[in-house]
Amino acid sequence: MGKPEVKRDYTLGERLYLVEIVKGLGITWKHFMKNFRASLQKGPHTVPTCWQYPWDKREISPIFRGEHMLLLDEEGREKCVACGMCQRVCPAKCITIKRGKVKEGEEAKYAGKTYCASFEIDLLRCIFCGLCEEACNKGAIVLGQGYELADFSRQACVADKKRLIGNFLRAKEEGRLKPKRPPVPVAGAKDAKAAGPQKAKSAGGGQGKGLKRGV
Amino acid sequence: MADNKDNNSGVIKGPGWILTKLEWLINWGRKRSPWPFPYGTACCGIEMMATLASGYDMARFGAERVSFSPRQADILLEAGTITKKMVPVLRRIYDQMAEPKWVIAMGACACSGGVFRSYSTLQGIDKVIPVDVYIPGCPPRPEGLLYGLLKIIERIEKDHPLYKEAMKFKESEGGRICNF
Repeated sequence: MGKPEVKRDYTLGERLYLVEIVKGLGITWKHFMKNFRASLQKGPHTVPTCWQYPWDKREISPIFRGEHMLLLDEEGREKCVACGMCQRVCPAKCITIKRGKVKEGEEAKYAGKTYCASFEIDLLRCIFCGLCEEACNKGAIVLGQGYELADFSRQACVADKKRLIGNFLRAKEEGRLKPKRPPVPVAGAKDAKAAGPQKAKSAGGGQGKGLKRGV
Repeated sequence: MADNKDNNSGVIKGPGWILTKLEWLINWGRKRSPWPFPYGTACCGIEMMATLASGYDMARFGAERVSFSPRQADILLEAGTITKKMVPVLRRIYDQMAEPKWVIAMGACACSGGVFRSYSTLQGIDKVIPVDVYIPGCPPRPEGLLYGLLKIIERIEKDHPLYKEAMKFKESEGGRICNF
């Protein structure tokens, strides 16, 4: 190991060392004052350090999939008809529905001829995939934006119908409902329409055959 | 206090002034330093890392040092799927933790098995260890985890560590010499 070659002599400022220290401290103070001034400002998200969660909640995407809600239509009637599509499509099998028939005189309460007598979602099983929302024909179940779901017991994490409708009413009040999205295009549906009844018939026949083979 | 009143003697049973103040002090210390033991076994572990990192900074609630030794940890932060092969390890880690200890089950898999209704997955870690707070989600948001931690802190605040020990002592053999 040879001696390191110094190309030039140190300047007086470098040799004093004090100047460089003051420069470094200056940078530290500059950043400290920047953060300090920002922290004094009012309003959300002004502090450039980290998300101050319980006091300052971060804005989340309108299509975030959080806690479910059961929707009511414009007249305040329950949209759900308890067809069980969500229950069937759910990969975690966390939805339990009991169906009830709407009696005479209760038409103002429910939109369909049947309604869900009980609608339970086990949030601990749920993986918030949103398939129930996609499967629903009536647009009755939607995943909202609630994410503060932690609780002390398993039983407390089962969302019943009352809680789900409550979620909807709260979201409606706060204006956090999802914007309406165009329906998902189904592959082949457009072509079948354009080709006329003949092709549609053949497609139907094919499906029938497939079903028979399956059976 | 009405429930604690002894009808025969008229003496109010329960933690006294000194005991409550001491308990308050102990709880104050405990709730401000809940060191977590990060037990991330799946994708929830990634969200747990995001919560621990500078973006959400779990250290704001006193979870300052992530303890990789169970003996110095207060909270077992179980994030992820527990397979049945993993159960002895989880149980052993829980047993190695010193009292007082709390358990957070984070995510669908840890809470109830989630989508994995299979022979190899444990259907919720509460089958083998007691769980204090369940956090639903797949995975939950960092806010969800912080909310769970706040729930634990809430539980610590309501705890009576000394009174419980005193009652245990009273029920045991030593109870003959003390009278409170």
